[in-house]
Amino acid sequence: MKKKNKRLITILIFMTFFAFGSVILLFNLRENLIFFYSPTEVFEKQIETTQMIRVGGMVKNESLAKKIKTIEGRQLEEISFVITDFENELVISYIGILPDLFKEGQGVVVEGFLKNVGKFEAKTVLAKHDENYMPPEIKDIKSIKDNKI
Amino acid sequence: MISEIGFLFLTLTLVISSFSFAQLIYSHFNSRLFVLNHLKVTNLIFFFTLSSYISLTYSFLISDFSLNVVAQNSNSQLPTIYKFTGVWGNHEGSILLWLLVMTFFGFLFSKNSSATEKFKNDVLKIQNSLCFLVVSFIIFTSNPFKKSFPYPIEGGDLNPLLQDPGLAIHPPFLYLGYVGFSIIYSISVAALSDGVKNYFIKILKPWVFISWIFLTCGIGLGSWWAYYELGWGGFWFWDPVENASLLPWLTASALLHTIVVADKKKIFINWTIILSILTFILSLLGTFLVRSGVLVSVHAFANDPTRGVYILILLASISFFGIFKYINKNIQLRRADITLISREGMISLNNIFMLSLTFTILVGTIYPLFASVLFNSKISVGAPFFNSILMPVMFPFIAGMIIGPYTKWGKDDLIVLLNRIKILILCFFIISLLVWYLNYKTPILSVIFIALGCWIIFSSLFEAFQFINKKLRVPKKIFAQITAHIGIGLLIIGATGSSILKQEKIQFQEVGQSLKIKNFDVEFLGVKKIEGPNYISQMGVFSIKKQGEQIKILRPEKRFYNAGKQVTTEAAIHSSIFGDLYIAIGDVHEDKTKWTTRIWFNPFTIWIWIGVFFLASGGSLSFLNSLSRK
Repeated sequence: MKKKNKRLITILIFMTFFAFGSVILLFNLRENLIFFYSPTEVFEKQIETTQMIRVGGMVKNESLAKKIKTIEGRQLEEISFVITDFENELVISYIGILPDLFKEGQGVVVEGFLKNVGKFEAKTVLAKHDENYMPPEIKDIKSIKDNKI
Repeated sequence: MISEIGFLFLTLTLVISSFSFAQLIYSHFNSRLFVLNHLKVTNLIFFFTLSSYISLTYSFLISDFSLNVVAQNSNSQLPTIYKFTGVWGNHEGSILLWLLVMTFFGFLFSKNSSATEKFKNDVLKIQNSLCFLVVSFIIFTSNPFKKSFPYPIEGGDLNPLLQDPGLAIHPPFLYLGYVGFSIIYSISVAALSDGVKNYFIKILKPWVFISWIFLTCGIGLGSWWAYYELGWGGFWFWDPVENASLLPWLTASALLHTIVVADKKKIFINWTIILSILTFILSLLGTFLVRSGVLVSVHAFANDPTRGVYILILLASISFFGIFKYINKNIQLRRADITLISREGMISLNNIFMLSLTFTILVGTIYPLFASVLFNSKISVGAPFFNSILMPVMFPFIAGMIIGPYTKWGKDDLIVLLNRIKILILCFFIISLLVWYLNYKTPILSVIFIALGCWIIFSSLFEAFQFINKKLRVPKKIFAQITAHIGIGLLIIGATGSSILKQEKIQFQEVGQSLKIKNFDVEFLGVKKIEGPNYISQMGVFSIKKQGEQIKILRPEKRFYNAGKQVTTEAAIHSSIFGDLYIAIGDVHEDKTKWTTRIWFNPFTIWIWIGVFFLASGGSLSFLNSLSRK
């Protein structure tokens, strides 16, 4: 009987730890989720400017532009381009080196913060390994599907 | 012609392995339909798969563009070495390599194991059945010998990112690890129906080590390749595919520790089997995530969805079979009482941490998948999640790692234990002060982690010192453990340096302009045009000076591949034990005098690779031990 009790207690302690751990895990997970939006959703939803999000769509043709910006005495190249889901457009600005497979007219996913209406500051432009690869998130955007790219 | 022969061999593999599979299914209903020597099947399917693989390689070498895979992934300009490695640079070929490795492990097992003929037969029956599942996957969804008419005169291009020696050797290593767990699965499941005799641990042990070594090297090589080839200045991005390779590595590391106890004390036998099955399931999950493209990942390639479904079925049936066998096991086990402060207790603790980490990373990796199915929301879990979970877990983990090797088997006392290592604790104090003194300007977190890394290294060295002090030779087993633990210490130092202490500068740099980063002066000398065998490169030339003296010229490149019209970045790195100077070059400005340059200083990065080398060496030593003590 005693041995059985001991076993029960051990199991209970483990279960408590596991439950406790899982709660911490899920809370932590919720804080660190990065949501994905299409340009249309960015306009429709209220998105905090402090929240990191991902936005994806097609890079609009001939929208890629570069200008020089000076920050802390260093000259930087600010890259801007427009992504579109064929309904709405969003201007992305980015400081950095674009991934090798970035091209106008192709799909792209960027990660960063929404600054003000219609302007997005990208911290990362997500690279891909394969020219023909299209992130499933972009593929699923309805208006892009309809336009049959 | 050769390719037809290749396909013929592949079909033969399918037919012959199906015998093993059929018997595996039938044996459940206790009907002895036919008697089969599975050892012979193993030998045959290995040679057939090998011939098939050689035929495919030959087709790549002679640029036989009538084959789809060759036409899409190779061209006549491609250097021979990449024609050779291009075989696994695509989905179809890489799965064929997967099969080859799987049959190879079966073949090795049939030749080199100390098991009895009957047990060998049982293990190989399962292994051959796994091969059957994979070969049917190849033939029905991703046949590398598929032809197209009319075929092109010139092929496409091997993805330029893959045209690199680091990547060329990375997949085979990773596969030898991943697929090595298939034989561990087979041995464990066979042991379950055999009534789990103690000898099975001895049979299992070398295979655990060898697979773990290859997986460690595979992950290390992949990480190294990402570091210098992608030009992002990092080595680990918590990308779903990277996580997928880490999951079996963690459970295999847990298994590595458990099996030592299982071998010595004949306890944890059940647990060893669970870990073995789990590790292979996680390997398959990794394959599913990479090959199905369900998750957004930089590793995701353009995919065919039917493949994903097939792998999922494969994953489900193999998991189900393992769990089914486990539930219906027929074994009697000794119950073991374990106290926490003992070697057994510490290893249990190690397992609890390893599995918690595995569970956490698994949740973080596949949560987006569930969210998209259940709530139809598109989300991803970023690096902050993994970092915030990993960091607090590291403290007890490292503490256990330090105390563990000093505990005694059976039962130990905490006070006596602390007394035993009091000199060590004093040393920890001094080391911490020293690390803090040398790095007091940097974030406190980095000081803590670097100190912890040093603690591990020092406590491992102290372990060896205790033996040498008594004029004894360090036992081989302990030596292996020390080597591997030093590897972890180095890895922690390297990872801390190259993540928390990383310095980055991105700017337009004019020709002749000099920039200061850390204690280096980086002068931009200009850009040269270079022609490679199948690409044109714009090569930046940077002079690296330290206190006015030039120490090195760095040449980062941007390459334009002719055949596929793709661009790749080749970073240039100056490594030293204190850190890497890392330069990547971007685009030219309109006025043709300024270029975007991205310069990093990544402290201690080299220790990551040295750490991986130590880990693999420790594993190899254990492997050699487990062989010699048959």
